Amino acid sequence: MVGAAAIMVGTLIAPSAVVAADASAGPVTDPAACGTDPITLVTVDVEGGNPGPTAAIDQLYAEFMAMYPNVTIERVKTAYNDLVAKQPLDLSGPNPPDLTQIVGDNKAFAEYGNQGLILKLDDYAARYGWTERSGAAQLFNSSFDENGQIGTGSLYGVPQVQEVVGLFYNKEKLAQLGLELPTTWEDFLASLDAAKTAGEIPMMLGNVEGWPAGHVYAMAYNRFVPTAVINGWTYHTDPSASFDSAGFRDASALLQQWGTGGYLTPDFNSVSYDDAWKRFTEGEGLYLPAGSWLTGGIQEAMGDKGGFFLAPPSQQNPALQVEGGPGQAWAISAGSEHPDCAAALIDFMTSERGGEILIENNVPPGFTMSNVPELGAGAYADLIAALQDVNREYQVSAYEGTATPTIGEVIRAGNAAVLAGRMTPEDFVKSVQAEYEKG
Amino acid sequence: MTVSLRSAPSRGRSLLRGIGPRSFAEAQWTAYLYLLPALLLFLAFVIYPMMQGAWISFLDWNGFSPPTWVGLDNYVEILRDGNLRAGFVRSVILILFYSLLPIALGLLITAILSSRPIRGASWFRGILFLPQVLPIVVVGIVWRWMYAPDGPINAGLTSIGLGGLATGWLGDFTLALPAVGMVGTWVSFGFVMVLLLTGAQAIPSDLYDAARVDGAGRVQEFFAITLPGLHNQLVVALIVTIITALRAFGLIYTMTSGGPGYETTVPAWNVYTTTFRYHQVGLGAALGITLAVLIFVIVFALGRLVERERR
Repeated sequence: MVGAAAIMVGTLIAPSAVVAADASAGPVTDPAACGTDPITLVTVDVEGGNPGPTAAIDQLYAEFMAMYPNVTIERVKTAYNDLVAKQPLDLSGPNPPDLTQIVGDNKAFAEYGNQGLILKLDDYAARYGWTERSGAAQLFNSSFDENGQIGTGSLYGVPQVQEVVGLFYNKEKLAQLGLELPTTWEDFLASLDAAKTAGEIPMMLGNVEGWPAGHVYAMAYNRFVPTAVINGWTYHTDPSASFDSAGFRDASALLQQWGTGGYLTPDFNSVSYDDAWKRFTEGEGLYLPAGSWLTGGIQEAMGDKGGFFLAPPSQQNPALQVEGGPGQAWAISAGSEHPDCAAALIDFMTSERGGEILIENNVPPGFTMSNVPELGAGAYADLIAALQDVNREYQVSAYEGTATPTIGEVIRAGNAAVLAGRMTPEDFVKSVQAEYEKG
Repeated sequence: MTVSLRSAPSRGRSLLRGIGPRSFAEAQWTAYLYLLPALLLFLAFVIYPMMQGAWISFLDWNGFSPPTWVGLDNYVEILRDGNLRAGFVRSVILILFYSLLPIALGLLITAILSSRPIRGASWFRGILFLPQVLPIVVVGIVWRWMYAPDGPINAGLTSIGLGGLATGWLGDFTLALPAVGMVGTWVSFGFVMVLLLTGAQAIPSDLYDAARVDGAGRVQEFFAITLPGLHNQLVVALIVTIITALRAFGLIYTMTSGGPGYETTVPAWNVYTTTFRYHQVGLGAALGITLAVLIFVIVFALGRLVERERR
């Protein structure tokens, strides 16, 4: 497959390099999109710190610029929280980027669209066939109507990758402990006890940032609360869904048991997220509950010694469900002078070749490809297999922290306090629901 | 110093009196003309943004959509929201670390060093002042590393057999705020020390000689000579360090991001997160205005207190 990819790149680059002035030559997806005058596309993304995705973006841009020699892409890398802070200014200011990843809560995304700061992409989607390629579930978060209701109305963004939250595991450690990969939640809980008894850290967690514990909590509440309730609450579509309910509370109680009972990295509230996963790749801990975005780094460091699986269903909630969804959506700002060219870049990022580049960098594409290359052993191969299961038979639960602008912070602070035994699960779920009702 | 200040205006007035009322008005007008450039800059870059901030604090605004007027709702929200209120309480705790502790330590060292010449005083001052010169971001990052679970503080504790005390300082619900506060002490201490040492050197040494002749002990010397002699320096130290404590942001940003939980969430951090992370610009502005008013009231009250004592 690598060979085939190289041949394909060759055919892409050669013609446009020869007839630089005539961009209509060669298998360029949409030759007219970028014209022939020299132009610069400014793009903003938050992948700079993620080894796999950041390399993939650089490679995608290099190949796009080779296809359209008159185009220069200026990539701006921003930390996630910094972009949350400056995105409104970025988009409403005099020099908006042409293409940007949208960050923050669902409400902010819808406001950007409804205030006319980012373009409706329906026409481009129809022209390029994005809806068929990405599927309705991938585009759900990026669509909204004029009232800000998610999941309906026009399309405003296209995500490049698909994410799921699962468990990375250390294959050698699992074998040393004489354990099989758990297929039920109850087995999983038993394996945590076995690891603890053997003096291993059952789960690695670095929570100094506050948000990493959210994914551990989500893994737990998905074993108690049906996806329909989680999503009805997150997207405000089910008025009867409440966070102040038994499932969310019981999951929080489990989190507290893990935090206070020695199931997590010692001093987890003082350890950074990056340190925790790097220590996991160096052989600490049996499991690392985390998102698929770490797969590239873990594959690189652990090779076939690392694995990935989805938290198995419990007796209480036997449904196959997982927290996840699309990665950050790419949107075109209304102030862009080259929207057609920006759309051509989105199209290239989600093309067959774009998918190959993602896969070469251990990033799971968030769209269908006609040819998925053979993968070796390790966390990345496991992830691709898991994603196939997810897309076939799982229900995907939304990120609960995107429900309102402030809910994420209340959940972050609450989880840290619950884990440290400073807050009761009852108070936690009540505080989250109270914040939710503020809107 | 006070003497010369008091006499200066009276001399000025007598000069003007000789020139006559007409040219007096003219002179005033010219004086204001000279002030105009500075005044314009001050209006444009201080007063206008402040007014704008006050205006925004009455709005419900996300920073880019059309705003709606909500009157005092944002201020009511500050009073109602337990977490926002708690931020102000944490500020008071930080004053302890940023202000009172460094001043107490500074006075102690000054008491020990005063009444005798300090050899290498300028070198000593330079070293003490170093934390003040470092950018607060550098200070925060270095101390975050010092406090890390595998950082030098825990390593030090373990090496002297106190491994039981080693902990994740900045992730501990009880210790995080004092840990950040101690860094504030470390930063403030140098500034306070330099101020007090300089002040102590200005106290005439014959006062100490006289006290000794009268048989005063070290403690009596301190309360009768050193402390009153440092009055002005203490006021400056208090005001500057209290303002620093109330505005504390850099250390929080670099060390804890307001965590764990809300344990180090102070008003300035709330201004930042509310405005820029949650896009509630009106509420953020209201928090900023509240903080500014609070600082002004404290500084004003301190000033009044000092005035009264002086009389």
